[in-house]
This record gives sequence, structure tokens and C-alpha cells, in this order.
Amino acid sequence: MTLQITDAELLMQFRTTDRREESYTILIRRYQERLYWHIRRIVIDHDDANDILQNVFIKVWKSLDGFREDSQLFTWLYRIATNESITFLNSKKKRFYLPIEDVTKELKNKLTTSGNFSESKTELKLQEAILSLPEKQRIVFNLRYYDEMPYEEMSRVLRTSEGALKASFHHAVKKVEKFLLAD
Amino acid sequence: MNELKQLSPLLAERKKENLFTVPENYFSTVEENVMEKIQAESVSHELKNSGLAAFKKQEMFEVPYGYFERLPNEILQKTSRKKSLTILESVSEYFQYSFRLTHLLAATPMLAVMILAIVVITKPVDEIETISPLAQISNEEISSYLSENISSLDESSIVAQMNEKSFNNLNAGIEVQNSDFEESLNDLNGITLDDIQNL
Repeated sequence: MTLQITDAELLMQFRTTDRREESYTILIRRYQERLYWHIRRIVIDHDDANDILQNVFIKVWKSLDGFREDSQLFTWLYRIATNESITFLNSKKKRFYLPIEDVTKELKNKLTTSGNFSESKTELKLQEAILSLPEKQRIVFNLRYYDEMPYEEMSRVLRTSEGALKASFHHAVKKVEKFLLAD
Repeated sequence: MNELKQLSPLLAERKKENLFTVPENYFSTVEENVMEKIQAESVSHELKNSGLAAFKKQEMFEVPYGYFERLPNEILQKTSRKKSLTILESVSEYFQYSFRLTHLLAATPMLAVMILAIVVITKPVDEIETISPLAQISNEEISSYLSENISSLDESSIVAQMNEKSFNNLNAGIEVQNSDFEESLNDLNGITLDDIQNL
């Protein structure tokens, strides 16, 4: 079995053969990096991102038999990863009774204190600007700016209309630009 | 992206860099970690669906009260005591070894005697015994001696060698009555006392 196999073939093998684990390992290798970076931009911290990524793949393993293929596998994986990341941030707010501002503050602190970041000052400034966005706007910005995801696909991932997503992205870009030009 | 160029030339012209870094070889370990967790979860899932699920997991063994609180200190005490003991043990072992060596040297002559004795005792008899004087006489000499002297060993010479006392000694402890003697003789068909006397 090689990495050239399509998602549909991979799903078929996962469901019909006794090589489930082998098929699933290919799936992980194929999507782990894109999903990781998506999660990491939301939760900032590597350890949190790692935990969430693993949870995502465990959930996918459990529900892959029931995946109806209405959407692409990739879109489905993104939706699960996004939901898991948002759930993680919400649980953090609930667990420590934190207002959203404090969570954002904590994420900004992690940008500067954690060792898992490069020392690019311009990039750090951009990340601080992105972290100043509301949660959903931040996700939209990341998906569009970094992953260059089409609105149609993003609509399926976030279950939001394309129009609303376009508006959200426009607002986000303006805010980020304003933040960068502020100094 | 035309959209971004229109919205924000500043952002569009920026080179996209990745601020975040990951530990070395991180992505090569993800699949292994995920598969391990999946297998662990499937085991717990199997247990849930098995008959064991009805049993409440309880520890049937008990430990003395405060055992786990005391354990670290006890281990530490034993390890520190063991350190001092090892020095003492080394000295003691040295002396024990010297003592054994002195005894071994003193016992060497005694051991040599004992070994020699064992060798002599266990040696086959024919090897130890000196040659019998009879063995020095040849077979021919023996046969000539017998042929010269055996003729004199006839019945009369044997009887002559035996006196009346010798016969009495032969009959000692045997009391035979005449009637018994006669009865025994009567058992012999057709043989009378006269016949026997005439023999």
C-alpha cells in the first residue's frame, strides 16, 4: 500500500479489509501536518495542539465507518479538528472561570514565553494581531490566509454560509492591518 | 490571492512565515502515539462489553496501615545502611579469606597422608599381597608329591590314625537305644541283623 492511494480507496480498505491499522496509519501521515498547524494556530501551545490532534485521530478512528462521504474526507477532518480546538478553549474558560479576554491574554503570553516559537518579530506581531480577533473570526482568518481554503469548503467545515465567511474575513483583515500599523 | 491584495496590500505583500516550531521528529511519532491510544481504548472497550464489566474493580489485597507513607523512608534507610555495610563486609571478607588460606596450608600434610591411605586401601588385594609361598611350587612338584604320598592314605592307615577316643567324640551328644536301632533296621525289607553283621 502506498501513499498514492486516493482517500476513497483508503476508506474502502479501512472498511473492508483486515488492514485497518495500516490504512489508518496512511491517513494519519497524510493529514497530520495540515491538521496540526490548523489546531496549533487556534490553541497556540504545542502540547495542547498535540493532545487535541491525537484526540481528533482517535475520534476519527471511531467514526470513520460511519463517514457518509457527503463531503471530502479532508473537510470532515478539518471540521472535527476545529470543533475539538474550540471545545478545548471553552473548557479552559469554564474550568478556570476565565473571561474570553483572559484566555486571549494567556495565549498571547504563550507566544512570548514558550520555547516553541521562532524569533521573528514581524511574525510575532502578526500573531498578536490575529489573537486580538474574536475566536471564530480568528479561525476564518487562519483558514483563509494560511491554508488558503476556498469559501465553499470553509463553509462546510464551519457550517456557515459563504457570505458570512467572506464578511468575517474582510473584517478580520482590516482589524489585523490596523493592529500592525498601530505602532 | 486577489481578494487579499484588494483588502490589504500590506498583508498580501508579506511573506508568510511560520512563527511556530515543533519538537524534532514530532510528526514521525504522531501515528505511533495515536495507534497506541486507539489500541488501549479498544482494550477498554472490549472489557466494557465483556462479562468483566459487571464486576466492580476492587483491590482484594490489603496493605498495613500507612505502608505507602513509610515505604520511601524505609527504602532510603536500607540503602544508606547498605552503603556502610558494604565497607564492613569487604573488610570481613578479606579476613575470612586469609583465615581460610592459613587453615588450608596447615592441613596440607594431613590431607596428603589421608589421600595416600585412601589410595592404598582402595587398591586391589592381589596387587597388595605378597606372592604366596605355595605359588612358588610348580604344578609338577605338587603332583609328584601327591602320587608319592596318596597311596599311604588307605582305609587301614586312616583307622590306625584314629583311636577309640576319637570315635567317642564322634558320637558325642547322640543317644541311640537298641530298640530304636532295631526298629530302624526292621524298616529295611528282608535285611536282618544277622545279614548286617555278616557284611
